[in-house]
Amino acid sequence: MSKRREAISRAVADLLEIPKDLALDLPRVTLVGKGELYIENHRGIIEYSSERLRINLNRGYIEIEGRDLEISVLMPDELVIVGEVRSLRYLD
Amino acid sequence: MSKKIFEQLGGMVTVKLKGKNLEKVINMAMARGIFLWNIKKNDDGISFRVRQSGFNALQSISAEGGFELEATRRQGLPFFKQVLKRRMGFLAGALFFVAALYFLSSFIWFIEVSGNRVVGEERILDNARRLGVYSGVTKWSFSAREVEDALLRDISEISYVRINIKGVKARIEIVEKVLPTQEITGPCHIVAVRDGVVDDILVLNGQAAVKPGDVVVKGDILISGLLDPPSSPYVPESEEEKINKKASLVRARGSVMAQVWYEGYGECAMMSEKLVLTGEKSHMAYIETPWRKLVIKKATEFAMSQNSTAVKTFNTPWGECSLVLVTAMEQSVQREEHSENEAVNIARERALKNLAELLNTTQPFNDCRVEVLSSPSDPILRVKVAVEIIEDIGQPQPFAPQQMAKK
Repeated sequence: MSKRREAISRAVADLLEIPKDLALDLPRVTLVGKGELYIENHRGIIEYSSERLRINLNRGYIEIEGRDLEISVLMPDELVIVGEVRSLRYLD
Repeated sequence: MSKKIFEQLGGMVTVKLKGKNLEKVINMAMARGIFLWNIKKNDDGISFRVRQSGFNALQSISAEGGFELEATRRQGLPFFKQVLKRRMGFLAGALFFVAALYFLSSFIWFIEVSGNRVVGEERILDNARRLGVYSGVTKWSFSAREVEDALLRDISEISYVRINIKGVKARIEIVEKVLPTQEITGPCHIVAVRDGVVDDILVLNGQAAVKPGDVVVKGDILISGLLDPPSSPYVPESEEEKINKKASLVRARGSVMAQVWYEGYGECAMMSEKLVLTGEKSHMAYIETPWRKLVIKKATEFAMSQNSTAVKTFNTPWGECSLVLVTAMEQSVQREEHSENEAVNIARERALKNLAELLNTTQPFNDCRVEVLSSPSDPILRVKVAVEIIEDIGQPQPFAPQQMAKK
């Protein structure tokens, strides 16, 4: 998606008050405590080990570090991670 | 919960995957719509669960990428088939059970009749049996609607019938016709139904034939339905007989209260032996089948006992079986001697009780005369009691106008 198109989409979403995860295909990340992490709108898994998980996004990726990480549900645009989450980083 | 049920129904496989860049397999599976869950990292690879339907696709993915795929555990119904193959007897038994249940529940075993008061249950059941509804008939061999119609036609006393079939029970619900009581419309007298002394008379229609204080016997006319024509003040009395006047006929109505007497009889033995309960009890239970009696619990024997039996009967396809519970209560003899006064009192009470039952009343009799019938040496004292009560002795009795004309 070009930057210009993204800017227009953002402006339209702001104007019409549409949730941005729908309008711009942004990820929606829900962290429950530090044991359960829901990610919607992901684009696959880049790296998986029990200490480090990298998940591809529309733009960039998300890096999760923790202990005993497991992917308890994996669906085309939604996944659930359980385990002990220590950090969550957005990387381009 | 529902997810787990679907997993069991569809079958799931726990898989162990070995190789390098295992994320690739995961991403490819996801792209092809293979649902993966419980992805865990092991020492030498990852393990996860996949549906049975997606397992073959996953196998081809891993074969393409050169990964090592191993199914470690299979769960769910599709895998249960192999277990069942080894246990055909179990499967056959289960199928037989379902078939037997279906087969036996397709008969009617019990028939219940409700709502009937005048029409006997036997008559309804007989009619139903004739129309094809009886214990042991298959449910589809008759049409409830047709049987209902036929029952209505055959039993004229019922106005509504409905056959409700619930499981193996057919319930015949009935509403009976309420017929109006037959009213006498023609001319009639009120006559006495028993002897007595008239106490009070109330005439609503007709002409009183008696007055208070009169002694009447059974069959006497109390209120006449024959009205004498009123004498006209304009016709001299001597002339009146010459004019052929007709008496008018009415349906007499009214109540005639009269004193009547009833007699009752009672007796009491001067020395009586009475059986009393000692309080000792023993229980016995057995099952009665058409072939034999199965004793569940034995009772201790008493020399004299009063038994009460509770029977619960079950209709089974093999005949009637019943569970019988017998409670035996021990009895002993107690001798009792009465003085003459006591005996008279007891006999009188019994006579009054008999009388009350006969007259179907619960009111106490306020006045009674006691007469001892037996001689003092008799072992049993017999008494006769006479009570006086006031009751309506009138009863309508129709008469034909011709009869009157003759008179």
